[in-house]
Amino acid sequence: MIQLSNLTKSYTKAKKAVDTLSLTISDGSITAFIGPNGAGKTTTLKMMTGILKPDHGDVLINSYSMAAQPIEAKKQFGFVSDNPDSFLRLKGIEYLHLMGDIYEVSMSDRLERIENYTKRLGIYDTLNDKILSYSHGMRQKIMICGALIHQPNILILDEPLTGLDPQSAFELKEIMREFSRSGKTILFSTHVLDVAERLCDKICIIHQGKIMYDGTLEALKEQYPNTSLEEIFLKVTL
Amino acid sequence: MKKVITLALKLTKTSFVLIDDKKKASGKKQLAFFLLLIVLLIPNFASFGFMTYDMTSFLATINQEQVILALLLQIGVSIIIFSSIFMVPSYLFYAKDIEKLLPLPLTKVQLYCAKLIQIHIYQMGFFLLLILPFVVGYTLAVGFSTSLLLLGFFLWMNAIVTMIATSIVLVLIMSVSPWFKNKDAITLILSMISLGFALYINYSIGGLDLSDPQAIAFSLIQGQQSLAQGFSSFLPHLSASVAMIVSFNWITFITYVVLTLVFITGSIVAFAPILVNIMASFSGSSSTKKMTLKSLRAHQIKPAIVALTTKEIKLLFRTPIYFFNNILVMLILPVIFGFSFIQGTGEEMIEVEALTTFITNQPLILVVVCAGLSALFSTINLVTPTSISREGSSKFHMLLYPVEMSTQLYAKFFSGILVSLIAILPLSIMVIILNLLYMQLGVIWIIASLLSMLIVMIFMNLFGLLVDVYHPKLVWENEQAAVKQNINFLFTFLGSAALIALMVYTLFNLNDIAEWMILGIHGALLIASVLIKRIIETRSMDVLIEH
Ligand SMILES: Nc1ncnc2c1ncn2[C@@H]1O[C@H](COP(=O)(O)OP(=O)(O)O)[C@@H](O)[C@H]1O
Ligand SMILES: [Mg+2]
Repeated sequence: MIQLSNLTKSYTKAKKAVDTLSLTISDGSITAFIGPNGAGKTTTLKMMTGILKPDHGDVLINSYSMAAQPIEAKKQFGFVSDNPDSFLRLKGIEYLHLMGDIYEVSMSDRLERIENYTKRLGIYDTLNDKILSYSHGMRQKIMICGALIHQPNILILDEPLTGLDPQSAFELKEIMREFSRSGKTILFSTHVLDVAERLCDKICIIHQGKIMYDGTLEALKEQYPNTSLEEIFLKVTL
Repeated sequence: MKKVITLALKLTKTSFVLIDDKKKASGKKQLAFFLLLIVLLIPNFASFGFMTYDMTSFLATINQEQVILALLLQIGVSIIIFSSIFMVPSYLFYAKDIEKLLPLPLTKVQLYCAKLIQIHIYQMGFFLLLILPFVVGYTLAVGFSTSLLLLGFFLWMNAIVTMIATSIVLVLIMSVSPWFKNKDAITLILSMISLGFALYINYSIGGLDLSDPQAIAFSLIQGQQSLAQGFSSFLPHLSASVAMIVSFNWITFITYVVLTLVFITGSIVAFAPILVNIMASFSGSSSTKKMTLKSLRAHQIKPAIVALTTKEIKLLFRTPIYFFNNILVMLILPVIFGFSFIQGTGEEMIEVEALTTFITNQPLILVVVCAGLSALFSTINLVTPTSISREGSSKFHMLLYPVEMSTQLYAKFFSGILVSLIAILPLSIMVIILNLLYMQLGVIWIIASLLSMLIVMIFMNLFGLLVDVYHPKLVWENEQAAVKQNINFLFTFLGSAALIALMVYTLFNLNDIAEWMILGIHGALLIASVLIKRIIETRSMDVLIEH
């Protein structure tokens, strides 16, 4: 479970990137964070994962406070950032083992998961190459595998489907569904609506750092009958 | 043409960044940094200038001042070759701006020209800065002459031709084998070549007594100086240029200019298409090794701190820029010292003996020398002062890991220690050997020297780390900027220079209490190290988290 309470962040005095945002994400759900560019999605995810210090408010992850027990809180989730260009001169396999060492994963679990996830995402054969030689999509996939190596309860992804080919996008969505079916929580941000529509149980529309809607897709559609998600989205974020 | 020049100027401006600063005042800060660098360089410049002045004045008394022009030509050509080797590949093929350039509605010739102008501006800036003291020294001694003007013109033409030739050679090599398109491989090869070149020059100059301009002048006239000989053996056209400067004649001059211009335009037109195609086809990919179950398992579980230290070391060795600036310097320095040692004709051995008797009389000197060298070697590799900077846009990973920030920073500290040891370990062994052979000091002095090296090494590495934690340069597009254009080196160098100065002052001016003072300084360093450790443990997370 993720609980955000009164999260606030402003980069400049003039404008709040995230404005007293409170939100609870329950276990076993797939939640999409939707919002136009600059809505504050990345900022919120960064505060959630301990990368960015909130001006106000706190984050509880499986009831560990990010401010007070950061190490415990950080063990609970895996995070995939929107910038996969890291550790370019490590080989894929070396990166995954580094993550395994950092998250203290046993060798047998590690090997099983590496094989499983990399084969499904189609990067198994390139694990001996440096990440430098990977395409954008492949880099993203190796980061996803790294985030899953400790089988976290919670998976947080920032714009995960941007830059993936249709096949990989399908595989990733399958992995996300499977992940949530086993009772785990997924939160991902996107600005692509139909991805959210087809994948998630709950959506959370964010605009100018504030939550405009938080609930199930069905409830939202009932609220605006005979309207496509796109139109609703445009109405809400006007 | 106007379009090309505007574009080139724009490229030059946007890719020249010394220090990163998101705030508006960065222009002023850059300028201040630049001025500071110049101020620091002034002593070197002045000594070169005075040396040239003395030599020229002396040569003028026997009507041989032209010899200096030949020397200037050689120095100028060396600078040009050297800078071309580094600048051409990095700005022509590996620059980030190429991706933005290629889609612009420009012909291939225009694109190539814009890039060439950009490189040329950098190269000339670098060139003028280095050659200035020699020119000023010469002019002050014998006044301005048309020969000097001619020389400048030849060097200018030479710079353009060398730059274009370098780009053509690179393209030819790259079209032979795609392996050479690997940026890492090329950077490494070029670095090795220029290192060889630098060692060669160092070796050639090594035999000369730089403090005696008259002696240099004599050996120049006699043509026995290895530097002059060496150059004319692998750059034969230089002697032709010298001859032309000495006895000027319009017909040869005009022929030279016309031939040069034909070469320049001819090569640009002929090679622009191939060149731009290669620019566009660039990739950092390497060959694919098949993944096997065996290679999947060929890893051992490591504690986080070991895994992170290993990662640091791997990246330092695998990234050519880091390998060259952070690792290889540690090998080059001893080699250069060694070189000047080996060439000696016995005189140095006498000096060593003089030095050892000197040390035997006052063993504290050994401790101070060891401390000074340790400070130098621990600072010069720049590993810890750039350890956060090198993370760049990937820094956020450090904040994600469920590992204490201090543990992660210690991993960086250990990587710095390991690299420092590359030079400090052989040095320690050398101290022990020299003691056995020559100095024969009491064991206590050897232990003191080794301990001093250890303490200084730990302090300097911690200090560098602290500087980078508080002042990282995280916004950069190529790794060069993370280590080379990083102002942190200045802070750590000033720190180590101050430390060395303090110890040397103590040694020579506080005779009675020197030993106690040196001991006290080491105590202070230990206390400072403990304090830095405290800061890292309590404050680093707050400082490094994004705000
Ligand atoms: N490092 C930063 N410095 C200043 N402003 C920022 C920074 N990062 C984001 N912002 C601003 O904060 C707002 C929210 O950005 P972000 O969270 O990245 O949006 P999203 O991910 O939804 O597209 C935007 O207005 C953006 O301009
Ligand atoms: Mg975003």
